[in-house]
Amino acid sequence: MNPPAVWSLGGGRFRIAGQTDKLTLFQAPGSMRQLFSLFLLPLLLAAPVAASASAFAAAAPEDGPPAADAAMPKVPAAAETPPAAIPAETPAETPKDAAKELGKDASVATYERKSISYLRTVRRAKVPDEFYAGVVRAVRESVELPRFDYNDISHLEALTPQEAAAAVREYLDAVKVERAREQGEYDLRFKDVVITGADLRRIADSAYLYQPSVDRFSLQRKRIVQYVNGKQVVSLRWVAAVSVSVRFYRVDFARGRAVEFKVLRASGDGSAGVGYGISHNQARREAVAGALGSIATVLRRDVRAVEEFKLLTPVSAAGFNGVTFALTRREGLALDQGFWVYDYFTDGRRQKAGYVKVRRVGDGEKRLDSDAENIAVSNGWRLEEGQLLEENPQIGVTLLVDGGVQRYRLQDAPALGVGDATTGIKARIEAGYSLAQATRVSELYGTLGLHFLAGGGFTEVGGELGLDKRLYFRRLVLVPGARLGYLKSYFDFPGATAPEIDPWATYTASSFGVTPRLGVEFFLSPAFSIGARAGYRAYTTQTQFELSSDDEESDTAPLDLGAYGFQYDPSGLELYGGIAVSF
Amino acid sequence: MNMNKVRWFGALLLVLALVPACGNKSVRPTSWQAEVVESLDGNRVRVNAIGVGDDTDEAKLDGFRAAVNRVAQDLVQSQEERFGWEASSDEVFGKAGQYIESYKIKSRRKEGDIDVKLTLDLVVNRKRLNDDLVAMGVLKAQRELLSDLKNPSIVVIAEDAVKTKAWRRLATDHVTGYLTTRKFEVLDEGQVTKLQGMSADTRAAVGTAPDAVAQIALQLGGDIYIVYDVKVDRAKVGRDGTVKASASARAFETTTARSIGSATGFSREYAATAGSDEKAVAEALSDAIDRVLVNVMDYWKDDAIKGFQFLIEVRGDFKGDGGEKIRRDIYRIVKETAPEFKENLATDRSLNYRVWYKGSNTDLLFALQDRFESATGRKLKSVSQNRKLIQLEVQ
Repeated sequence: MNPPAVWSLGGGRFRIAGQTDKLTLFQAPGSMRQLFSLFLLPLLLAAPVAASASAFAAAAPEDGPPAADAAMPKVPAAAETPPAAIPAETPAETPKDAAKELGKDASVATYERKSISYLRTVRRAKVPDEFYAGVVRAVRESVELPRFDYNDISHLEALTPQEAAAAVREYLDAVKVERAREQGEYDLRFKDVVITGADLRRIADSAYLYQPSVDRFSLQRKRIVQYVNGKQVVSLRWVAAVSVSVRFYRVDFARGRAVEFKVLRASGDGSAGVGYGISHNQARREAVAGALGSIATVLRRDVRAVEEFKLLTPVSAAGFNGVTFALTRREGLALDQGFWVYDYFTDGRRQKAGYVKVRRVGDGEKRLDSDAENIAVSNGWRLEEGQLLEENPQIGVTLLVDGGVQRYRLQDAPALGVGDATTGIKARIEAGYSLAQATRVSELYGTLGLHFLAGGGFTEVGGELGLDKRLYFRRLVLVPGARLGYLKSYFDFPGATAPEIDPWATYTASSFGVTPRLGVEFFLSPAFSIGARAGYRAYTTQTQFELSSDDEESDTAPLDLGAYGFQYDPSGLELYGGIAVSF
Repeated sequence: MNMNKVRWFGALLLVLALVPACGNKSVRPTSWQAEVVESLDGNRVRVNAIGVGDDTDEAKLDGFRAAVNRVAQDLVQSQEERFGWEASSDEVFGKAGQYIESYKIKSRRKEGDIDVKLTLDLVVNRKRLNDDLVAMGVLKAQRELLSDLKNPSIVVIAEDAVKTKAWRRLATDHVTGYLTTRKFEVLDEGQVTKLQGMSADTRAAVGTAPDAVAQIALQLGGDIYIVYDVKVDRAKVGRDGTVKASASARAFETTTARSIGSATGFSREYAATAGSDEKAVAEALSDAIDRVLVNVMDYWKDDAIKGFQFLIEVRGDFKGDGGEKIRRDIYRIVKETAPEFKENLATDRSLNYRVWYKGSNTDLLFALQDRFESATGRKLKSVSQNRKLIQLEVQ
């Protein structure tokens, strides 16, 4: 079993590693410390996330920042600075600031379609030609979201941001009427789409440039030496580490100049082992792909979190269960996307009024609005028309850590010194990835989990693949699901009297099966939930055991411990409680 | 009666006292803030309104009521109508939602003691409101006017600067269509050319009108004439042009050229694409005409109570004692026939009166002729007549 990807953590970012070593993950009990670190690491991660995750409904209104903060750009003519001097990120602005800058009331702020142009990627680090196209593609796919129109100036080579701004101005000047027509509203009086001067100015003043740069690209072959049960195991891996920064410039249409306003950075690691039918070239590509996948995921979320690019819109209709609003697939709205709901005050403050998740996405042609389900409402039972929705960008990954008890049946066998046992303590880590986009089924998650069980005189390590469907009743969620799993148990028989049994050795056996289960979760914030789950594990019974050995060459015949009346039936009820963090 | 029964009785009294208090929640607007943005056509107007309330639904309803009140203010003009509106407005506010064709919440904010304050962009069905007010008797006076005197006939005249524009015909048609939708009789300036063949005497009579435009209106027999002007401003956004129109409309009483009211309307700024000039002109004109009509109806309802206005031109020899007697007889007869009148001009050769008469021009003509003949034994010969002008000659 060699899972294609596993979630790893590092560098302050949530990253996806390309591949992992199956020996590392499933080697037990010698690798127990590594397993524990896997369980503990998410807990350590979850703490700050939970602490920083604001509650669904903030009691105190948020104060808007001082007016001076709103004055953008923060870095005048920064585009003229040498590429190496990356300015500090500008503080995040609130919609109020963005709206103030546009001379609008923040409570009426709504997403106005922007346009974007790509400037050729700067190679600050040496990127092999074979990977350069992949890096560019990963970054462009992450930045050029459906919420943008694309101003294609790619036919112009090697432009500086200022030259590009002039080119974008030319380009926009030529297309802005047509673009306004595409976005305009049909007026029955004139039997035509109305294009106003304000539309033209909005389109002209909503152009952006972005220029990625590859700040770090490292691809190394590593020789990994591990000692398992005192024996040396050597493996070869390719490890990739890539860092990318993306500078955003706003195009000042009137002057034809580029003004830098935001820099996003992302880095990712990936690794892939050689062997098991994987060549060096394949491993190199997979390692880089893993790093780029991580970068793409982070960048896609961070671009959506840029204040000027955030989806904003007022609630156009509100019911008991949810709200309707005027965003559609044209803006890249996705199923299960989360939105904060805000109340604005006349003095400029704003207060969270609730949280919703998208359940129906309008196509932008026949249906010009979408529906979202109320997840949390701070005041009363329903949200209200006119409240402002603001996107809460997430990558759709959930990390779950929980622990509990597992019922099983261990048949007593006096000759092996084993008594009856029925209950063990179990710990588990599980990653869930939203499948809503791929399947168009709301709140469907694919899961990959690992567990560790400490039973009466034995340990057990297993992995599970599964599906969960979340059914929301506001913040309370019912989670029916199922898992397909594989486990390996490790038995020691120190009190064995049977001559064939080595009391100092470890015996292993495997099982597989399915676990239907039902969980209940309660979301404290969109990022943090607590929950309990119950399921019934139906796995194959173990009677044939092997002597655990680190010697890959050894080929010992399985022992039928059932002959001593011993058998381990992993099937039984499982009960868990734990926490989950959503990214 | 034991204490329990007393308590139950007290509680019952309290409930009975509270129920009507709850039911009597005012249906009148709280904000009273609304502004007409534009007239979409003769029947619908776009209004920006503020609504306040404990929650969004209540604030929305308050905005609806404020918008309906604003549109109603343009419909009720006479003192009598205002009294009627004051008495019946609660009924209209109670069903304010029926007059709202569509709405959009432009902003929603929370404020101090008022929980929710909304800015609404609404389309109000003015015709439906007007019909209901007529049915409720609020606009009864207007209904009577409509049956007896009808709405004023209006002559629409473009300023000279407009006449050279390519969209001149469209502008006139737009104004004409707009007024027709509002049930006004519109007399087209273009018909003047058909009247060019009028007699020299008539031309001379018309020549007594205060200015050339009034002369045209008089020729056509309009009660009121509206002179409009449209200016189209052009600007650039990059290489693309934009168009924004402003229109002015001035309304005058035909017989005196007295100004009744004036208004200016604006269009949005349109991208200069095919037909954008026409869109801008039409939008600005709708806006201006809609505003000036408020003044027109205000004037008309006051004036029409006295009857239609006519201009009477009597030609003859009014020199000497004999002439003076005839002039006195004519003055007396005019006074008897139409008590509301004014003498505009009196010379040795002609007398010119402005009279208010509740009847048609022919009724007035025959009444004058009959009375004059009875009083003097002489005849008043009709030289010419149209809807506003009667020209007579003493035989």
